[in-house]
Amino acid sequence: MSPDLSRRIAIHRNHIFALLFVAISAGFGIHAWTSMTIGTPADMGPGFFPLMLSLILAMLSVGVGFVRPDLDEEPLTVVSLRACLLVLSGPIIFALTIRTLGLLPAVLITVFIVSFASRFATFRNSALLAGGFTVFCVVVFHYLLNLPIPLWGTWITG
Amino acid sequence: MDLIQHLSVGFETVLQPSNILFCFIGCFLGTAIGVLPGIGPMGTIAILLPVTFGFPPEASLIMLAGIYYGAQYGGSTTAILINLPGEASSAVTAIDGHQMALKGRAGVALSVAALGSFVAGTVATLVIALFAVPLTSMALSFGPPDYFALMVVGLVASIALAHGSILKGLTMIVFGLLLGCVGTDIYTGSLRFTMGTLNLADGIPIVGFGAGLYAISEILRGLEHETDRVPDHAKITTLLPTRKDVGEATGPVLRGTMLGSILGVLPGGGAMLSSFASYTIEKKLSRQPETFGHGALPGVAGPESANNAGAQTSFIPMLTLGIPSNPIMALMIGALILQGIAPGPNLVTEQPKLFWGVIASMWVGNLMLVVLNLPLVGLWVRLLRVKNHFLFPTILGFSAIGVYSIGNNPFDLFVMAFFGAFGYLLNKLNCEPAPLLLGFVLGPMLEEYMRRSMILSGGDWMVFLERPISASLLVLSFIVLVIVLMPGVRRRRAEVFVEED
Repeated sequence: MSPDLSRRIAIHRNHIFALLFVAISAGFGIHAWTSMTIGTPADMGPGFFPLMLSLILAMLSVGVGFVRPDLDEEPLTVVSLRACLLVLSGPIIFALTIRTLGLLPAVLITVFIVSFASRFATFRNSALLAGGFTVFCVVVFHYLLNLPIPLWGTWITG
Repeated sequence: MDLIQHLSVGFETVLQPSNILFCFIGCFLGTAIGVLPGIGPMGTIAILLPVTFGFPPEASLIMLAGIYYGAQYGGSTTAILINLPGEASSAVTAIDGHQMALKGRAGVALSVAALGSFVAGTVATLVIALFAVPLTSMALSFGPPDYFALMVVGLVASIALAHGSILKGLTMIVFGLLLGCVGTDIYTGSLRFTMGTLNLADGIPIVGFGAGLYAISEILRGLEHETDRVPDHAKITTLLPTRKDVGEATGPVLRGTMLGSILGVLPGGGAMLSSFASYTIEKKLSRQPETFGHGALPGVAGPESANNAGAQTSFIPMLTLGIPSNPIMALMIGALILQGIAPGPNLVTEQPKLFWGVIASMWVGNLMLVVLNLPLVGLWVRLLRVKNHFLFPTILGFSAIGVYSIGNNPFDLFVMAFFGAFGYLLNKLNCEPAPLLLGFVLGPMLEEYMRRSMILSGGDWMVFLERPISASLLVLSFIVLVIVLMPGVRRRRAEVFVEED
């Protein structure tokens, strides 16, 4: 990537940062201002500290927007959308299955699906990995460490 | 004499067979995750935290501590053999360590690193034992404004001394403090920023938050450039350093140990900062600075000793004041709280076995680590053959189980996914996750001490400048901030201009 192009993207990055955090601080600040008691310095309400922080956060992030980015910065590379969605789906799949199906199926399904985030994943390898890892987790967490998570969930045991 | 008595209480605790076993498990796991890139002590401790709930408190802390300093040993093995630092704190070791390996001196580099770490670990254990008690008695005279100022110093130091943009670091800290406000307000009991869900009434769950920020965003980064190539590693011929090597390494080891012991105590300091500082100093002191970067032994000996000493003395603020000096110590405090133990200056009198046991375990653990790392180095090298596409699903699996088991609440997993995505976004915007997590952890304490000080002073902000301790700490953090902000920015600018010409 030419220095010119990377410079432009880098500038963009600081602007995105500034916009993102100004928005976040506005969100927190307005919420604190409208729904919490602010109080006085001698008798601070629940909203005092958050409001103070959101004001500081807003000032700092505006400041970042004006910073000239470094030239030697790495060019922006982003993980493929497929990999991103698969990895992020991991905890969510686990959350949805852990109570209904139980520890064993939840680990099996989560690891199997997540493994396809890699472009080297094959059906056979993923099945083996998920199977082996599930056996390991059941033995270690359920039988050795006695973690209080049921192996089978409410849908299966009824 | 007190010292000997204290240490003997500690050794009595560690030398119980079950505690030795936990110490070994911690060191073993620490080395393993230190070798493996992509999973660090932070993630591992987060995963094991809920598991330790069933252990006695000593065993739990001894094991978790072993993971932290064990990772410093493991990280240097990969740094030397394949030029891939397993941990951020070994990045410096890779510079000269890998050059030594290319010249056929991999074994010497490894043994100097391990033995230097051992010396550092031994001295740091003594430093903790010597200074812990005076520090706790000093801490008992601290008032709320002093605690407030101490945390401000910690937060400022954590970004001033780390790499990355100062301004972005400050933003991350303030955002972390703000996230720390989520949950129930301690004074009025009213809910803040909980978005109508009771799941957030106790605040954002820290393990889900940390696992997302570190594990998930690290996995995503690892998937950016995938290869199925197994990294080549240098062959190890002899492990034994010559007499000349030992002579060359002694000075750097001792200086590194001293530096690491001091910098580790600073809030926000710890392993990484110590190793960078030691490398710079050794290069300045060396009679042959031109050999640095081409396999200079002092460039391995100094930083490796420094990072281990720093990792250990960073326990001091946690054990004596109950203040975490880095996110890992924050998790240790979490482990104490899970066990129903209040961290703080009273820990040493209320839990002497725990307190001295953890300290003594560090020395025992360091001894185990030398054995684990030198003769067994071949085992760790084999671990590197594990390909990333087999590794990341298991890291995610472990993290999910860990996050869920801490409160048996599926909501925590949504938090993990959310902050995983957010952490990755922040990484793409060149932000470090460490200040965010530190701010998040210190936020509630900082607010409590601020509000308490203001109630005591009747709303007068000058209270922070009237007490000598808090005033000097605040002035110190202000000076640190001014120093790093001014010349650093100028030098950076200058470098950019040079490159443009």
